[in-house]
Amino acid sequence: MSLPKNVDLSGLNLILEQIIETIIDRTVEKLVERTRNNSTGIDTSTQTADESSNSHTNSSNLKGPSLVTLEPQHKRNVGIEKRVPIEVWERILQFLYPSQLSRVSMVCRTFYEIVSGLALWSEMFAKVYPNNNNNNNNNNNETLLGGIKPVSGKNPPKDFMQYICAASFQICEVCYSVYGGSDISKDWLAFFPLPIHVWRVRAAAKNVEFLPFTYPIRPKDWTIRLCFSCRKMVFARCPESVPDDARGKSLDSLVTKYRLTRNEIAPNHQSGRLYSEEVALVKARPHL
Amino acid sequence: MKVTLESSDGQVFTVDKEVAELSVIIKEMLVIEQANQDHPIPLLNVGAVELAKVIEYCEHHRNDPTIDDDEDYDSRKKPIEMDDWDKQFTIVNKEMMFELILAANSMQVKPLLHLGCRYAADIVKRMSPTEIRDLFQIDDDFTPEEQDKIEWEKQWTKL
Repeated sequence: MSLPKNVDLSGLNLILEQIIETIIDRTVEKLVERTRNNSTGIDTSTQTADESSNSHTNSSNLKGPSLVTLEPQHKRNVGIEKRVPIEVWERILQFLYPSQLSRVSMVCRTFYEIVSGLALWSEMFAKVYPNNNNNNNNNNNETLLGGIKPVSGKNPPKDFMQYICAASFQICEVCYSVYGGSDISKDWLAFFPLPIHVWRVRAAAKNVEFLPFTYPIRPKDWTIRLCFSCRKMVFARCPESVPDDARGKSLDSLVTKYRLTRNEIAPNHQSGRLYSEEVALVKARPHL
Repeated sequence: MKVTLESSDGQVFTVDKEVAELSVIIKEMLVIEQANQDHPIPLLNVGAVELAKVIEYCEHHRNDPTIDDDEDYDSRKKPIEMDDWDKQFTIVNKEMMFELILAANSMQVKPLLHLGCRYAADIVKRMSPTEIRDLFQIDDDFTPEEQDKIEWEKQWTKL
């Protein structure tokens, strides 16, 4: 048995088209927003807030009041996130990957300010747009976000974070490298930054050689995006384990053992079928 | 040589001098006030419960080599080593851990601050925004427009 020759790629093409469309949409919206901001010189966040309600103007300004102007006698009554000073939050947040940071920034205005003020974003930005000042023809500059170059904004740290978030699907979170391939070849998906579970990256950093097949992946362990070389390094240090009864067997036998074949899928196809039903189907095979 | 410390609610602790000197603040105060050591050193920002815990940590780590805090390291890639005692020490509830971080910050006990921040990061990075709001009892103070904008900005995190 060999791999099927004529693989149906129509589904994959659709997915790729959708990805490209979303990237272009984001790019265009970003561009429109940029130009509008540059012409008027008003920050978008405050602008939308002003348009929505004049009564909330003071409270909805994202800059907000400063954090550590609290009087000592009220200390015990104030929430813990206000009592922890900014430099301690920065110490805590230095352990988090960029996607985890952006999740923290969605909590409230205070957290948004703290996260967007981190030095990490400008570091990433400097790596993503390396020749920003020289105006050289750099490959990354041309392909990232469809070739749109950043405009130096009014409030740089927040701008850096927004740029990194807009281009996040093309950036590796560990080495901050960018994959900006413009031609779509068969290697395109392989080199694209793909999500990997954090526990595997952590295990690789600790040089844990082998995790058991039944390692519990907790639902709270989110994924981070890694580029091809980082993924290679992670899997070299912490290889993906296989079940014990599968060792020494060929890949073909594994696939037929653990996956449903085409012939099995077609007659029994139901959209909402449970995983346990599929396992029952596999186990019901005569040769097992 | 012994040093006496006084917490914000008036409790007095007596510890060895080299234990107390793990705190940068106390070390500097001892240099300044070398002449009169009769009265206890007041720690206005640290409660008795937290101070007891901090002293417990300092007693255990009294012989550790001092960490150069200015060392530039990428803490995302390098996990620090925790021994079994540290693991036992960090089994406290989340509010207590943040109180300890605040105490370590105000007393400038660098290794404890590092340990606590790492623990807090472990808590925070697993949580969704709603769970963090529940933990710290924070209100969601974004306007609906800003909420939409930020949700759109952070599509990254949906994966």
